[in-house]
Amino acid sequence: MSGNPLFGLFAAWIGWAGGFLILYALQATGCRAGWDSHMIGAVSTLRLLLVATALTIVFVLLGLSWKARRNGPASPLARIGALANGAAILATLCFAGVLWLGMCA
Amino acid sequence: MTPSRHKTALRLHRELTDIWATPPGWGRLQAVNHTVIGKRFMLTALVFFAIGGVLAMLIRTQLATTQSAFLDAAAYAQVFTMHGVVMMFLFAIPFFEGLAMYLLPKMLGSRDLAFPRMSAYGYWCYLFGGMFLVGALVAGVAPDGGWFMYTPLSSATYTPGVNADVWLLGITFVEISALSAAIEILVSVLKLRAPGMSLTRMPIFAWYMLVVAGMMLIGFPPLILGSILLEAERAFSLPFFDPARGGDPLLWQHLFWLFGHPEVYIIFLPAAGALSTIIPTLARRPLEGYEIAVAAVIAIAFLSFGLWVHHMYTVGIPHVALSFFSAASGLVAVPTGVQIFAWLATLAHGKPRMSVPMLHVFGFLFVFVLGGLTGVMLAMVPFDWQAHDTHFVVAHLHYVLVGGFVFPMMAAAYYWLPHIFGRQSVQHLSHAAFWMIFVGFNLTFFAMHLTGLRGMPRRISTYPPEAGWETLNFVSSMGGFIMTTGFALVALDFLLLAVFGKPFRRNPWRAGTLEWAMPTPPPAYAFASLPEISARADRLDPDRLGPALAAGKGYLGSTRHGWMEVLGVDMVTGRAEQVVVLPNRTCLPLLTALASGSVFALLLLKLYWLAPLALLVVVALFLLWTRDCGLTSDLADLPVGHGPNLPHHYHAERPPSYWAMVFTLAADATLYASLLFGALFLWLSAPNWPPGLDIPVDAFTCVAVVAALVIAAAFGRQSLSGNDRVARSLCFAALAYGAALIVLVAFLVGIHGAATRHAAVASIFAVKSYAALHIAVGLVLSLFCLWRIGSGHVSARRDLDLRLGRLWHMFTLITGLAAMAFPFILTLLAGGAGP
Amino acid sequence: MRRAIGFRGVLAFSSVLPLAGCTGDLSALDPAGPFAAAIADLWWLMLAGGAAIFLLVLGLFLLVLFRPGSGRRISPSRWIWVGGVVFPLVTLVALIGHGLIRGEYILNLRIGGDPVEVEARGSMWHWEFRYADGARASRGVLHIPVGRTVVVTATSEDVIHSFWAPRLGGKIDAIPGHAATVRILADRPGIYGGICSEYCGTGHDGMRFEVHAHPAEAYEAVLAGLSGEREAAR
Ligand code: HEM
Ligand SMILES: [Cu+2]
Ligand SMILES: [Cu+2]
Repeated sequence: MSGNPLFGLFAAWIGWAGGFLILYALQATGCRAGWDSHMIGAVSTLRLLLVATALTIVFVLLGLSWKARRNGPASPLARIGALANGAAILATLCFAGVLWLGMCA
Repeated sequence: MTPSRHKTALRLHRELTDIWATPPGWGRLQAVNHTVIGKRFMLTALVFFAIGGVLAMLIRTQLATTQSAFLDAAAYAQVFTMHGVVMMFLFAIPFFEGLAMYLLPKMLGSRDLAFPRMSAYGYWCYLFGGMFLVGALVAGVAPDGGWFMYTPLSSATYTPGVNADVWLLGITFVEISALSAAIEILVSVLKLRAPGMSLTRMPIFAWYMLVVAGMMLIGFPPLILGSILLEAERAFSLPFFDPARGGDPLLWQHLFWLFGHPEVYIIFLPAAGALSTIIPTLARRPLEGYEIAVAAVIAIAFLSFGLWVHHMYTVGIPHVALSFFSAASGLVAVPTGVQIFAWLATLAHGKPRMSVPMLHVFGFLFVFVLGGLTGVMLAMVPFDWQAHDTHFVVAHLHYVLVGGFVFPMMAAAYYWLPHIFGRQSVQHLSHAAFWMIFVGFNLTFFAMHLTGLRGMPRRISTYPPEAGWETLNFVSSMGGFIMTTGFALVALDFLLLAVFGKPFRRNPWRAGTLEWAMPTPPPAYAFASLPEISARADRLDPDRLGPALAAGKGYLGSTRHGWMEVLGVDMVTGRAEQVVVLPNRTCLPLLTALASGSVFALLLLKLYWLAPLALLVVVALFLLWTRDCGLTSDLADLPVGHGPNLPHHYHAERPPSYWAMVFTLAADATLYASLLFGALFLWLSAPNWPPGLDIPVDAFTCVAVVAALVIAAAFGRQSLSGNDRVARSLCFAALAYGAALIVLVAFLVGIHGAATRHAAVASIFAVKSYAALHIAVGLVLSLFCLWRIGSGHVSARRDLDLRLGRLWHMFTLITGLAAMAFPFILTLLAGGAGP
Repeated sequence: MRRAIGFRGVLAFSSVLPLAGCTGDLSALDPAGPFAAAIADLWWLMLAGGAAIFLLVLGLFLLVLFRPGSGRRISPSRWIWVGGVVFPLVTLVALIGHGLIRGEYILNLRIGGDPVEVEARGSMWHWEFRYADGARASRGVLHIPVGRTVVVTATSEDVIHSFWAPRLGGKIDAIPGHAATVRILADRPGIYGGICSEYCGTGHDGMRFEVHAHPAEAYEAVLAGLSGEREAAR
């Protein structure tokens, strides 16, 4: 995986894209299966699931970029990689809506 | 230059020209040279731009007054659809492809692209596909459902004529050309550079094109898949998009926009790359923030795939899902801002000089920033509920496309035309032309923001006087005519430059990039010898490098065997690792494109039984391409002028064709993934599920096919291990493929009736057809390898064909397993609770 | 929603406004209810912000071009990080948050008790509206009560159309096989324009409709006067 240094440029972003698709798919599946009306306390199962997934994504991305940073030398390519990974982590802001927005309407 | 040095330069020039140049007359049809093909792409794209512009003028004439009787609704539909189609598919993409083909080898210190014949094939496909579309317009049967062709309007029920087929087939044809260009660019940028040019020393334009090509690789397959599915629905009644039979019109929208949004960034980024090259030169200072700019381009690439649903805010998707896309659409402005401020920082710290390209840079900044701002507005879900599908969107999209592509490309044209023609502009018309375009553009499209907000939907041909849109529309139309006059002046200006421009010696802009380290107009071989790069390749000194390279002081500064040679480097470090010998000029690309064109023509004419025959011709022609690839005896490493001897690429571990195969499979995998997700999407979203009929799951077929595939892959793999058993292993692999194909085709024939009744069965049909197609190609590849063994192209050190084959066998095995498991998964899902 | 007036005043100088006399019964800039107003308000806010940002960027460009050296005091990386990263990030996060909050507001706003439910069926090329689960229907004219949220469920019998009454709220696509909803509301009685805004074939231009907003009592009477769906569809 770390064989090709090019991969380090994209690692976090690939993670972001995968996470994005998973969240979107989970949301759609959850609505079809009615998980939004199944409540755990005051929140629906679906929301809980999405929030947990979003947090997992953030942690995975943090892990990926931390790993890339730790074993990469301070070459220009590694610097670009660090910037790109940081941007991907920032881009998880896209998922903040799972906290409060309407789930299935 | 000393006289002897001069003499070597001349001799070398003559030898290289003999090898690389395109012959005159009919020989032009054999052209494979990147300079020639690049110019052809650009020129053809400009012709299409003119056609699209004429269509735009027809639109503006129609809309200038209320209740205009200039065009009727049906003709107007063809006009606006074709305007969009021509501008997006036949102008913008091919134009930047041409620019990239022309520039990349020269900027990277190479002599050509990695697959010259593929570029030629791509060009012919583009030309023929474009002629299809424009021919249909002349014949009055052009596509008429808007450039995104929403179903069901474009389905057989509501568009019974060939109009939609022209779109689906013509665009797919052009997309194939674009995909081949993408693979070409990826491999060329990654592998064919001057020695010493590590990734981070590349001129920034190459980074942009690398990312763009990667985006095309992932972005185009969903549209190709969508087109195939829709054509299958229209031609064979497989109901992927028909809600009455378990299909869903929204599936088309997802597939289209999954392509369509990245598409607009695919168009913008090359233009931004050109700006990142031009602005530093004009500011007399290397680009500031090279590293963060590269990271920004990567960010844009990924973000742009996460916002396709912003074209679908009004279809009823839940708010939380919209929020992902809305946020991504807004955030994509950040990396765009990074680039703009990198340019501003470069200008601020440089000594900018005013010139015609700079004028167009101003045009770009003014127009594009406005377009970006309205883009952020449209990304806000509630605002889009109002503005969606109105002329506000028309205004926005032209601000970004014209601002983000046309103005930068005009800057690029004024900047690089001296390179193409060896002459400098005399600047009589340039300023007047710019201001006419600039003023005309803003008049036309600024007004449209308001027309849209005041309720005018897009794509209407008439509007009532009491709506109060007439003044604004009239202003738009007048502006449009001013702008068109401006474009005509630019064309004239270019012509004047080509004919009367004044010649110059070298590097008129005092640029620091390699494309100026050669005579202009450029010779076919670009560099008489290849430079060694030891600094960032936008800080070089072309005036010093040029003469030295011309005198053969660099790498490969002599010829042998009449070979077209370039150096292949390690992707990351740029260390020279192989001598890549390119295939020479030939008519095969033209013939193959003609054959491919006839496949599409036959499909269009609904001659479904002839089309496979034409396809066989295409395959046969492609196999002919390989005749002059490879070696029939082992070669020792070759001297390259400096440093250690290097292996011929056919002996190398990872030659360009290996990477081309990897990238092809990546695009193929994207298409497959889109297909599988599409089927799951139908299960989730389409009405009339679960299907009221049995989903055909045939355990026998699945087991048999899986077994055959495992056998084929195992033997395909084994063929690599021992030389004496290669042929036998390949025979077994071919047999296994043959068996799998027969079983699978029998199954497909068995379910084709049920496939027209429900989308669930249709998607199984599609998935299994995909597997069958790959098995068929696997069969062809095994036989091909046998042929190559017979013709003496294979030895222990020359096993490239076998390794390429093995990649295919593994891919077929994996996708085949998924295809066989797919019906069971679908049954499991659809068997659950209904919607 | 009154804030909108303020923005309009502020922006009166910009060349936009002389042209934008907000009239015409299809103008989204002339809202006649809280849904359309919430969006128009958002537009004026974004217009003001957008104009400021545009002037800023263009000004910087002209400055560094015509006053060479004027930007040299600021280091290149500060240019990029402040201008290209921090500023847009902060602005955009604020705007996106605002947009989502406003969207949620629009999606959940209920005025005047339980929402009235109507169905809008598009077919080539006219609209049919059904009330009370299809017991009543009208063609080309949608009747709604004043001051009450109306939930319009859009469907289609053939191709995709889009239901849009710009002065009352946003649009929603009418997609065969799907039923999606949009909320509209009229503050005062009157006739409001509506138009199909998804290309649906050669009759797309003429696929207009009207929304008649009646006072509550009159509304019941109007509904009672409508026939069932079969007659309306005739
Ligand atoms: C030469 C100046 C141009 C003018 C005056 C112009 C005018 C127009 C107009 C008025 C429409 C709206 C048609 C309608 O909704 O009824 C339109 C649509 C469109 N234009 Fe242009 N345009 C120009 C250049 C371009 C360029 C350079 C591009 C792309 C690179 C482009 C891409 C499009 C697209 C994609 C559409 C949407 C077509 C559709 O709705 O299916 N246009 N254009
Ligand atoms: Cu988009
Ligand atoms: Cu319509």
